[in-house]
Amino acid sequence: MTGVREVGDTAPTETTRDTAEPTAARGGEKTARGGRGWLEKGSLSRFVLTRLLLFPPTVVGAGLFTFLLVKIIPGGPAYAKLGEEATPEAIARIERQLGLDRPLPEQFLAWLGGALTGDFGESFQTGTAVSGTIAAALPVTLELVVIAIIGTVLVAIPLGVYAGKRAHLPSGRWIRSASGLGLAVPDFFAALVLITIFSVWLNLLPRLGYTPLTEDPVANVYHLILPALPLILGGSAIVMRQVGAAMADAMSSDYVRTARAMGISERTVTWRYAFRAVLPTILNVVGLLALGQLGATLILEEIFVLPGLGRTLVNAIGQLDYPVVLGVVLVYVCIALVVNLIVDLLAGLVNPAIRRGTS
Amino acid sequence: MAIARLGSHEDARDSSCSSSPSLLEVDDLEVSIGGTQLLSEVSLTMRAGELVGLVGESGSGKTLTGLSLLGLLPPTAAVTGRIWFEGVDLIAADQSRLRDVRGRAISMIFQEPRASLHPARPLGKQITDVIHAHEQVPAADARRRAVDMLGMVGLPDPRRVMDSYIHELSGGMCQRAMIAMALVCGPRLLVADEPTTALDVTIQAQMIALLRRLASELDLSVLLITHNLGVVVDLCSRIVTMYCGQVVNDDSTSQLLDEPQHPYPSALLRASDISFDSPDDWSGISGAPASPARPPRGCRFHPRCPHAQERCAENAPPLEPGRHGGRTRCLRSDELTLQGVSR
Repeated sequence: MTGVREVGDTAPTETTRDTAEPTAARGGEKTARGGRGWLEKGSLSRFVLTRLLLFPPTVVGAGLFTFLLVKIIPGGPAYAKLGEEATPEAIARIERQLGLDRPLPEQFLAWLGGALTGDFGESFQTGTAVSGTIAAALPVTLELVVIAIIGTVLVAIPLGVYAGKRAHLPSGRWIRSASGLGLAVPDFFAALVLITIFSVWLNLLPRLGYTPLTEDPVANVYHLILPALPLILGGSAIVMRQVGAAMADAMSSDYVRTARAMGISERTVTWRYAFRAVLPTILNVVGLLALGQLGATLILEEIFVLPGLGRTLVNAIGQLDYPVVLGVVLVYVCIALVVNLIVDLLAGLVNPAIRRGTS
Repeated sequence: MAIARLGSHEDARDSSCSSSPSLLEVDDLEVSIGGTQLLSEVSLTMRAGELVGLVGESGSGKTLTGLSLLGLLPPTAAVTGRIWFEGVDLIAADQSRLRDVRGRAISMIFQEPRASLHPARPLGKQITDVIHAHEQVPAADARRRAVDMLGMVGLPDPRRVMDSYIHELSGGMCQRAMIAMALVCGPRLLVADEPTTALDVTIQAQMIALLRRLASELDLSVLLITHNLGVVVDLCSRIVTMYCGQVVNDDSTSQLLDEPQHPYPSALLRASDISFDSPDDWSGISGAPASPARPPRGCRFHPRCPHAQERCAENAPPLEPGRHGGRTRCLRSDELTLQGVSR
């Protein structure tokens, strides 16, 4: 037994009493530094590996589900291409060309086989490779979401901490009410209002257009500010509410009372004690928000005419362009899996019990 | 019997009439939170190095009194009265002054050591945070002092405890670490709020022994807040009893055990004195504790008091010097001879 042993206190009056704790302490004791080994049950590495192993079945399942979903949509790509007046012969010809006359399982397996090697087929409409379309559109959407998340974190966390510390004061309640308003306004409406203010009235920000990051980074970010603003507003409302409530809880917790009782400064108490305890909540909220904002880009890219994944997907659904729809959805699924993994990983890293595997 | 009582009576007077100056003087403290009065006419004094117990049922205002000493009441609290500590009125002090007092002049430890320490900050950091809050010292010096303090509170391998989180230690070890945190900047007074309640009985005795040793080695005064009379009798030379937001009795431990001067501590003592030879002989206190928000007229204890007379329901007794020393809040204290617990 190399674990901790409580040593008896030295004062003579204590010696008779002090014999009991060694046994008690040993019982509840765990080696502090020991932790668990690589891939041992409960370790972080094992957790990550399990999650990575679940990726392929999740992706295949999502692909199958989407495949069946697009097949349910009435009409077909041939109609979408030729119009309603097309003769049955022309339709049949096109369907044969696209391979849509083959049995469903065969179609799915052919697509899956290609997808697993990075080949998502060609667009029914344009004939160009889907992987190329995705490669061009993905950076636009990712950039939009990343700017939105950074903006949200910069706005919502200081406000949430402020509101949480003043939960019982009018200023804290005002912030909460404002965030309620932010929650109630839909993205597209906020977008229209912001366009009117910043683009039409003030003429500060461009209404439309996109410049790739590689061409002109300044113009690129400049064009993405206005589309990101509605996401930042809506996202801040959510994050601020959660951070505010969690901070208010943490500030009235027993460990904060202890820190205060020892004279630790209010700033240290706020950031190193209360905020530190709220960190896992923030990570989870921001992770969920990132996925929500990925979904919201569908509408915003449409409003701001951005050549991103969302607009690509909306157009492809309208034209029943199966390969594009399937390819884009698959990319969304992969992003969601990766974001969730990162959030869980970070949550594990900020929790000492999980990090050291001594829980 | 009469001679024995006389002897202890003189002991009590000796300890209460000592000439050393008072360290803490609480004068007519009143606290209300959100418009509800929870403490009224609370007064008590402590001398340097004195170990005083503060007892009473749940809701009697013990913890609130302790928190008042550090100015740790919720923001909605309204406080009047005086709390003199080493010549400074803590009620009139502003926040930065209070922050300076906390940890350096008065510290407080709490029950539930696990909930009262941060779960995701190494214990050593929580201790050095206190040092850095009060002194400009290099990080290495602060760390060395924290290690020394952890050793002083009886934790073996203090260096390892420094880097441990609370989930890696037992409850007793966490309580010791919290005591180290409280004492690392050398306060003169430690307010210990139920420090043993959440611990195993075997560890309770060790905590009391530890507090006794630290008090004598560091010349520390301890205000022990507890409802456990056994613990308080073990450690404290004087016991202040609270009921319904008031101090009702303040006596030396020996006087209180031999012959309480107030019916409430007398009832408390007999309620906690269960004899295994005759367990049916146990007597509790009838009725429920009165709420300080709606105190009974007259003496606040009279509805539950076995010695109450009509006048007890009419006139509120003041806290006055007792017949056998100390102070007591009872209209009939001069005529009652109450039963203590024979040792």
